[in-house]
Amino acid sequence: MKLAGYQLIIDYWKKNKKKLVFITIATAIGTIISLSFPYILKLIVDGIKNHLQPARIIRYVIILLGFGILRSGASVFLPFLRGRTNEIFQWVTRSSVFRHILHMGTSFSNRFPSGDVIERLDQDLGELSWFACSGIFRPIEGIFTIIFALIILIKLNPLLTLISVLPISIAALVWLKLGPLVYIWYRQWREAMSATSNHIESTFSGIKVVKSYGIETFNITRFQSILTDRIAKAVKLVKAEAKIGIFFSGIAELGILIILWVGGTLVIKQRLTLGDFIAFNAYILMLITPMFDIGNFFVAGRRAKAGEERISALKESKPDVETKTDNPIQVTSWQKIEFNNISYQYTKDGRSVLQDVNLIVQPKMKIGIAGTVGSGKSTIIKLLLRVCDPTTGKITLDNVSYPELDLVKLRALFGYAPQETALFSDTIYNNIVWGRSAIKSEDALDEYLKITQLNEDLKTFPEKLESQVGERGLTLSGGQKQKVSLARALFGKPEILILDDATSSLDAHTEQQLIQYLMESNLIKTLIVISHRLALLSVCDIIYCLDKGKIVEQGTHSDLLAKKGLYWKLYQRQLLVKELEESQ
Amino acid sequence: MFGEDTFFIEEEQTEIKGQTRTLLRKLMPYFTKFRAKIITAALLLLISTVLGLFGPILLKHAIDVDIKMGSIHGLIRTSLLYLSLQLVVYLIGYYQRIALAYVGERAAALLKQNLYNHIINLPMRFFDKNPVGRLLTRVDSDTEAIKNLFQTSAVVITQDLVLLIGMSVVMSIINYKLFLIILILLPPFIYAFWWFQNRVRPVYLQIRRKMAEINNFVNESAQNLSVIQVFNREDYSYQKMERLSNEKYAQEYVGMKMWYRIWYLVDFGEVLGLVLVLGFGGIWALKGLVTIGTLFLFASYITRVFMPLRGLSDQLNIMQRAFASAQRIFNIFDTETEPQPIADTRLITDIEQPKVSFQDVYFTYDKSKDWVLKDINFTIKSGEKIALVGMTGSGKTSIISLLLKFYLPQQGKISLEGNDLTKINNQLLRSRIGFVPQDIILFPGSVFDNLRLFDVNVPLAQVKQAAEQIGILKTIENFPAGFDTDLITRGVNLSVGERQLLSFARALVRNPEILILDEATSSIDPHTEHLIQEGLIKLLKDRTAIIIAHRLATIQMVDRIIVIHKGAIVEQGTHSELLKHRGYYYRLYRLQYLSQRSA
Repeated sequence: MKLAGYQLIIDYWKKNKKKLVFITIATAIGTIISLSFPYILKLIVDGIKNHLQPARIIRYVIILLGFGILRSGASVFLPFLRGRTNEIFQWVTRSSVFRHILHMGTSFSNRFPSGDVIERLDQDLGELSWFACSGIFRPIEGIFTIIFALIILIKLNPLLTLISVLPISIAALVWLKLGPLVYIWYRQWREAMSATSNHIESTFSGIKVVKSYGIETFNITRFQSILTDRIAKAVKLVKAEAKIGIFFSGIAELGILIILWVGGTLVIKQRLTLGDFIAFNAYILMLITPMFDIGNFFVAGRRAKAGEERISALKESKPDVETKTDNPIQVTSWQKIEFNNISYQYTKDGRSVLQDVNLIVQPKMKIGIAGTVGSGKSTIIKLLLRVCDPTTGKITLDNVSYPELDLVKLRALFGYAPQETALFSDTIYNNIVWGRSAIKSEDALDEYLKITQLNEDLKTFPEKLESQVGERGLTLSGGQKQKVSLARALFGKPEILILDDATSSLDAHTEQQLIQYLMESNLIKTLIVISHRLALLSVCDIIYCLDKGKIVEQGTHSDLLAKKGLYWKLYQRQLLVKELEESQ
Repeated sequence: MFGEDTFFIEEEQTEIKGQTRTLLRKLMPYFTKFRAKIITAALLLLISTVLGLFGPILLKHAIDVDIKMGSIHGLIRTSLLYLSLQLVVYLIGYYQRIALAYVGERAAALLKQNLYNHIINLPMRFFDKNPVGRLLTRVDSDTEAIKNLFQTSAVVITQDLVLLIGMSVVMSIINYKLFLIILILLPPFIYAFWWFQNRVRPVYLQIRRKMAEINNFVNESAQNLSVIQVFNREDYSYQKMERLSNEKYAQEYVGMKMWYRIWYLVDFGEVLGLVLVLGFGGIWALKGLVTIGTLFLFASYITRVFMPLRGLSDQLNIMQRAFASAQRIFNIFDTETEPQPIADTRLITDIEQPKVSFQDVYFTYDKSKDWVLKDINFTIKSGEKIALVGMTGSGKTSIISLLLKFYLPQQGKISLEGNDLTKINNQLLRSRIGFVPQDIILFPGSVFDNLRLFDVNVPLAQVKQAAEQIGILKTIENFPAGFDTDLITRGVNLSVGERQLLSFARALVRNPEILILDEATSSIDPHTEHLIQEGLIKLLKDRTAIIIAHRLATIQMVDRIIVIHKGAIVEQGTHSELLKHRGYYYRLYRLQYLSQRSA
């Protein structure tokens, strides 16, 4: 059976058939135990009525106690079982969606900002998880209760059963009609709620415009009308729910009235025992909750479906780079990475970020990439790291095209310090080592700390490498973040170290020191740097200079300066910046 | 990147300072406003709860009197009485519920509105420190928590209390011996319940913290996907998520186990109560000391005695969270708005005085740090257009922020036509200024509303005229619904040029005396450049203007250039004067020129 919108739930239960059977059976048994209770009550009442021996009554009471213990167990065990399954479903689903997301590229991030991902994996998944087990098995418990109760009631008195249950069954039909209506009101209320949060959000994120244009009053008035609407929607929903509540309770009371009237008359005419009469009363009350649960199933089901669609959307997105799955070529050593006529566009009809780029990376080379802002420098790095694929052209490693290669092995060649430092709320140690401790030794770490000069900063941190950074810990300066990011890039002793404008927040002295330490250590096999500053570029063997996505010049630092072209201009510009910065 | 926009963990760590009583006292005014409705609702609650006690009494009567006597008439009378009683109970319950919902929603909305009004008037410093997401949580979710406290917890607890007392009274009147038996049962159960309750609460706090940690990790991961991939850290990240999930589940499991133990206890208490009542009562009934109706009544009540205990745990949890929310809300209320001169429309306009003047202004955002602006002195004549130029971080933005009175300088004086800025009401000051930020900030709503910024006094014709002048009219009319298009929900992609022109149009609608423009830095093609230049000329006409200039064309257009370096004015003059001077500006110009030529 294919039920669109519930695929995650169906998949879960398909994988957990045993659990499905177990919960169903447990539900049935639990229901029977609960339903036995009023019956024992009947036995006691009839016993008293028939003046049985006190010992018999006591025996019944002991049986009641025994079943009572079981009933308490069942009434707790079933919700526990459901609650636990809800949690497990949530865990399993969150993990699988998260694992999927981990392989997504820029197109995914553009479509789903991180706040949106959180909302889907928190609220939406929470609601869906409740529905996955509780939402399904509560009504199932309800159905069992109704069926078993009806069997008992019919055995006690078919006629009384028929007329006392009649109003309730009509109510159930009415609920099936009303449920969807309530869902509409619920949705309207939710929309009013998001209107509120949208307004709050836009006001405070645009606070500069709000203040400078003095539109506080207009915004306040608008907020007022949004809130008024929200109150109306909320009250409407509560009213509807309350009316439905009255209707159902009233119907149930109608059942009791019938039992009181008809049942009472039957007792007087001695065609029904007093015990039966009391049991009927109890059973009718036990039918109300199941009916709500069954009715609620349809409302909750719609909400769950909406949530499921939002979560599945995350799972259905595709990564930006596809890897050959069968027998990808393993990368063990390398001699040459080559860009052949590479062009790149973000969208099909968009502007070219890169055009006809050709370059070669070989072991031991030190390559610099220079260029104006937005000239495509970082895109070259992204292509090299295979975070995205070129629109046209081919990138090869030892003449094997990138998509043929094992992605993990390919990326393992690189150490990367990006423009944005990308640290996590964790210890400094964990940010640097990042779970790679099994392969590298502690001694090396000291060297990286020295190269990046992070050791200087660590002296002032209370818990050194174990200091927490981020939300619950230290707030690092831009330069400190870059040092951590650099140490992380160095840590894997990568074949190719890539620094994408990774020293911009370091002061000139620290940067100079870093370069010196880097060159002195034998860590660097191949180096690729993007920089606006010249200190790093000047140590490169070859510099590619980019303008509007094209390589317009290439050569050594001194070659390029002699050309008096773009690189020379950038160089002049840099000198000016330095001069301006330093002038008093 | 972790940083200001993650605050999931903070939410769960709010310490409640002082007493909850103080918080309640502060919350009171939001509810006393609806005093009449609340008193009515409370009375209705009381009546319906007390009347609800009579249901089982009537049933007892039916069993003990009508059925026993064989009176079918009596039975009919009792059952009709029963039905009408229940209907009255439900009807009263309905009105009480609606009244409370209404009050709850109104009070929450009032709290939201007050908080919003308070925040919107807080100084810019406040917004520098508090990310939007946090403010959203305060105004939206935290107020809801307080509503729940009132609407659910207060009601449930009152109702349960009344019920408990009422049932005790009825039971002790009908049969005090049986009642005593139940009474003996209650204390150990209530004690056990409290014992569990206190142990379960920290577990719930742990669960919420773990969830916050998970959300934080999802956030950081989703923001850094490519770095995770480049380092081949997908599996590591996945395992970390598994670990966090496992930890959350483990806590959840502990919590659930405790929770269901409480439930078991409550349910078993009910069973034990029934067993005792039926055991003792059954024997007494055989001896004719107790009627079956009484047994029935006790059995019905016992279920109701124990039921409230199930919900109590939930309610305590809600209350705990509501108080934390209240604490966070009042922390914001305690942030003081800047003292404001009252709106004085009789602002002395002295034409002799310069339009704008900065005298010996010193300013810093953070008192522990160095000056951002030092010894700033300049004046702008009416109708004069000046450009502020300087390197990134030189202090240009700070100057316009001061002029907009987003911040007050620590030293010196800024004046408008000779009036000290500190003595001018913010609204009044800003009503004379049009501010065009680097990028247009769109609000949910139509293009029309966005351009007139929700000022209902501005007719469409005026907005159209402004759009026409700026040269964006055709573009707007080509939007899916023209001026009615909601650019955000429609997801209309605007080019850099269009965004800038919309921003111009918005400013022009206001027709301000003084224009402050923060030019967009992004590189644009020559055609767009031309369009923007045309628009800018229209916008600047007959206005005093201060422009943070990035483009060459703009620099050449203004009357005077003020050159800022490291927070101080280093040079002033026209473009050609400054070039001739061959000083700082000359070098800066070459830098700008070089970068623009190569872009």
